[in-house]
Amino acid sequence: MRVSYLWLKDLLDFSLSPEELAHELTMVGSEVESLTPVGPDLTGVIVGYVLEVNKHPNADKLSLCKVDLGAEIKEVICGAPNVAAGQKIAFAGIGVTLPNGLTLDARKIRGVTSTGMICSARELQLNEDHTGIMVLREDALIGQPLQDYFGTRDYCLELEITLNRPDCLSHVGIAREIAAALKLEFTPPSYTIAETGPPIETLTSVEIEEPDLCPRYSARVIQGVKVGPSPAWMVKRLEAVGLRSINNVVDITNFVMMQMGHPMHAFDYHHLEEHRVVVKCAEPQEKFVTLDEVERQLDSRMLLICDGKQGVAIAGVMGGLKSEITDATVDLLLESAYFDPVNTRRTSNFLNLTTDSSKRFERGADPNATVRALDMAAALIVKYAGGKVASGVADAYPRKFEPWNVELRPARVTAIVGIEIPTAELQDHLRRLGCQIEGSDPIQATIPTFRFDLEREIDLIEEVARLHGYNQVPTADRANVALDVVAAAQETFEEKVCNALVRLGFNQVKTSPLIAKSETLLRDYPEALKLRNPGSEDMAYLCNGLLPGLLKVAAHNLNRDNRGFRIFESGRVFHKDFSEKEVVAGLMVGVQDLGNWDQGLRSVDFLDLKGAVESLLQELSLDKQVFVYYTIEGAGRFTADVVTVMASERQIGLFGQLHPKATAIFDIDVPIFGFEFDVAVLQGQSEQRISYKPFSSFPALQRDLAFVVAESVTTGQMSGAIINAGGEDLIRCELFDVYRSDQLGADKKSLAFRLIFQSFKRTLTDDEADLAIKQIMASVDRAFGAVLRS
Amino acid sequence: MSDLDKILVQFEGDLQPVHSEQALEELRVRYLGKKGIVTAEFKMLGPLPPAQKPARGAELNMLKERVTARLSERREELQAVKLARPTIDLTMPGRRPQVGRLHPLTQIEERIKRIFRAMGFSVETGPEIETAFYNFTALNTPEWHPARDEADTFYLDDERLLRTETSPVQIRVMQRGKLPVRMISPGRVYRNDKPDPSHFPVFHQVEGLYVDKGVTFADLKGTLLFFYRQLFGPDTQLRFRPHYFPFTEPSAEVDASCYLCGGKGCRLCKHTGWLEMGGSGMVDPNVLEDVDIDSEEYTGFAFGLGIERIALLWYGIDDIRLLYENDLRFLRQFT
Repeated sequence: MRVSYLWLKDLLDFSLSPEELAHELTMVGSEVESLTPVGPDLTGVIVGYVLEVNKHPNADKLSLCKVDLGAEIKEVICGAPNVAAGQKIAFAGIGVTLPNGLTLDARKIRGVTSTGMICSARELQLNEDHTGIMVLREDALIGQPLQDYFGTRDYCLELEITLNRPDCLSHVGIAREIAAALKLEFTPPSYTIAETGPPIETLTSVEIEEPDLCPRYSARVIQGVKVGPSPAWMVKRLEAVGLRSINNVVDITNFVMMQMGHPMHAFDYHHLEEHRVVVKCAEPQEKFVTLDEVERQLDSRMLLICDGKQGVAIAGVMGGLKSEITDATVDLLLESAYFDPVNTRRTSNFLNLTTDSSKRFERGADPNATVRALDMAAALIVKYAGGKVASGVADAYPRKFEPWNVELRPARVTAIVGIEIPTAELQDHLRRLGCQIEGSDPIQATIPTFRFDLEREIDLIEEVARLHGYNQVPTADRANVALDVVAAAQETFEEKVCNALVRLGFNQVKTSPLIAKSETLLRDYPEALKLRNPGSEDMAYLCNGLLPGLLKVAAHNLNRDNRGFRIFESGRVFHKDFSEKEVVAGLMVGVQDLGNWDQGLRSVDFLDLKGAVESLLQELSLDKQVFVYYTIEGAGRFTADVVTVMASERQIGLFGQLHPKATAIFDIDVPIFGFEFDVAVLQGQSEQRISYKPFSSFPALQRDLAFVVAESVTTGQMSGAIINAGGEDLIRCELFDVYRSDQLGADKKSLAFRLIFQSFKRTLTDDEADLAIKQIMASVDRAFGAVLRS
Repeated sequence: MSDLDKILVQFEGDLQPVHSEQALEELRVRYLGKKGIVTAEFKMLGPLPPAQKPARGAELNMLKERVTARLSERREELQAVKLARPTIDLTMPGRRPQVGRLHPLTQIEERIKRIFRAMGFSVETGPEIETAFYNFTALNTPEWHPARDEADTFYLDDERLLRTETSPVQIRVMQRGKLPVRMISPGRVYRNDKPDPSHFPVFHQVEGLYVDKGVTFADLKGTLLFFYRQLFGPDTQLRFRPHYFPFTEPSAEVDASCYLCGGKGCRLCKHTGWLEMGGSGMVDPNVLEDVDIDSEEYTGFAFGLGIERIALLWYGIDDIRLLYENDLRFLRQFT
């Protein structure tokens, strides 16, 4: 909300500069978002007196003027037709920057040097007048800054008013806050009117059919007004807060709203059929043309202000075009009502129409301010537009709001705030906010109806705490540590997973879990959840897996010449049944090991991925688990070469090459290898505690054996058979070479294994190793027809 | 010149051209090996008359010592030369193992968690798909509050929504019924915002809660001051401004003195000297009563802060969307 610094000064005598006021308001809870001077910057422009006007020697239309500035006399050239000796004018000297940004320098015009400029109103951006120079009043003081001639410069403060403080949506409300903060006395101005017209009962009546939606409707009638321009001072105040002047009557209703916070509306009395007001709900699908000349369709829950026949205003939101005040208006009916906040908000939302009025009603106006607002408006109208005020108020108030009581215990203030505030100070703060105070422990506060947010003791505690000053509250220098903190195991496990992947060269990414429908369609993924009110189509679904986000990141980086990278993400994925689970997934893309520049560049392949996954599982103490390999028939989001990782008969995850059809969704045409693991299952299988296992101190024996087998025999089958047959002293069996040649023959390969024998009990002899190897050879021969390569 | 002197002269002559360790070893073998020249002279000691043996033996030992000393001198010289003259181009790039990085948001989050863990806060998590009850009602959000609007919150159906803050986790923890509660809940939250340099519909928050007997606003100030000093440096100051949040009363916005200019005013803090960090306040009694905690006996404070906000400030990032674009040229900067 915008407030004017000078308007606040009209209401309250305080001695803060605009900047100090901004700080004070911010620290008391109404944050000042901006502070801007109102009107043009007239710095440097001063009042001058034209001593003489002579013809320019070389130009007919220019004159040469001598201007007295008090301290000196300047010669300037002026092109305005209205310049004359004896005028007081606005003078800008060399070096002065005008509001339009132009900085004046000494200039020769047709052979004569001008040492300044006599300004027009437009050059000073005061108004659009550029027919000639601006002539000032006689009482202007020569040499006086022009700003002082116009009076103190105003400032506009843009305030962020919190939702609970509709009472601050007015100058009176803000003045009350300032007074409370500065410990000043504040009384809102009151207006008295002479009711010289006929009794109001003879002119109009107000009937409320919906007392829940309109607990109060008050009206006054003023006859014989003259609609015309508003007084300059009022235009200035309204413009300072961004309101355009329309005419004196409309401006006054706006002025009342901006000063008191109570929205008003003025109807042309003669455009009200039967001269009466009925407050009721609109007909279903009723059409209504508002002031802004837009036809709007209403519904039967919207409250409509009607005359004897039809609607004349959408309650609390906007008036109708038909009954608006025009230059021809003579008699008028002033409305000042209290409408239900929730219903006003609904109407405003449904019509997508927010006004200064709806904003105030939907947050909560003061039901007991209606007549005061009418009186203020009537007093100003009589003063500036003439007319006679009918005697009395047509005031329908079917649901009365009374002030209520709230107790405040001083000890409770201490318990919440942590500092003892003297009872007298507590009482003082509450009184300045408009409460009536009785007693001291507890303090009985009667709450004014404009502060409906003060319902409970805690609400009062906040008020006294903020007025005392949050920054006056001491800062505790010790913490009372609870010793039964539960370690969040899953959360630390996730950190462990992330750190392990980082060590393995993966960069963590964070992608948006909101994705487009096309991105949810990876094969084998469950159906994705759609938002009911998405912000855009490409963020309309909740991710059903992490691969789509990762593939999008891969595409982004591939398109930016990144030749090889590893990325991972750890986060939630969502299912149609509203369940969610923690998943970690990663991708390996492009060139492997870019850091090894002299070893040749090769593309990442399945064994790189498998190695990374094996290392990850080892880091998580899961490497003792068994891999189950199998191929998914018909291929899903992975190609046929996919590995399912199982532990204790539970599926932990999958890894393999992503199917080209899946990567094509993201316009990727290079091979991508990826993995996906369920974090909760991973954690369940991970060894929580590591216990030391002793190692043998006896020497080990190494034997290298190369077996020739058929291509169809896998490394896993061979090593499994070797380990089974090798006896308890065979502690390691590792593949170290694969060899194919013509001599071996087609469909044959040689697999070379390095076997390590070691005993916990004694030094093994060569004979013992040889015996084990014999058993191994017999076993692999029997199982796979494997023979030693000669 | 004796015959032994001649051997020494011959040795010196042979040593002269030796410039490799291999040649040096060959020379050693030629003189001191099993069939070496000096060894041969020792073998000839045997047939000598006993009277001559000691003198000749002493001379031979001197010769052997001399040869040995000269050989090891030359070996050291050769090694010194070898060390002094590199055989590799030291300016070639090294072979670097690939190392990944944690996302900057994770790095900030972990820093925050470390500080709170040190203060005895537990770290709690909860669902991202929440109900309107946990996300709003239990947090004392009035029915009319605009945060409930579809313009602000993503809904899945009439009751389910994507949480707009991590405070629902606090309700779930308080419902367990174990007091005191001293926790933070970091996590992902959602708001119906259009992406722009300072907004993204998905972001991360950390919310904290402490409920116990005798907790006051002064404790809130002390805890947050400790936290922000750990985060931004020991000279950090805090400023508390009154505000309105349904979940807390009294409520305050927390500003930290700008870590860049120390509060003097700079571009980062928009010349105010202060950085807006997040909301805080004393837990509203309604919230406590709704989870069956006696609000007369127990009080508590709560606070929240945005991880993205701190990341943007700390790293000088000017567009929040960079954090979700995941360009590796961006991610790799956060060592």
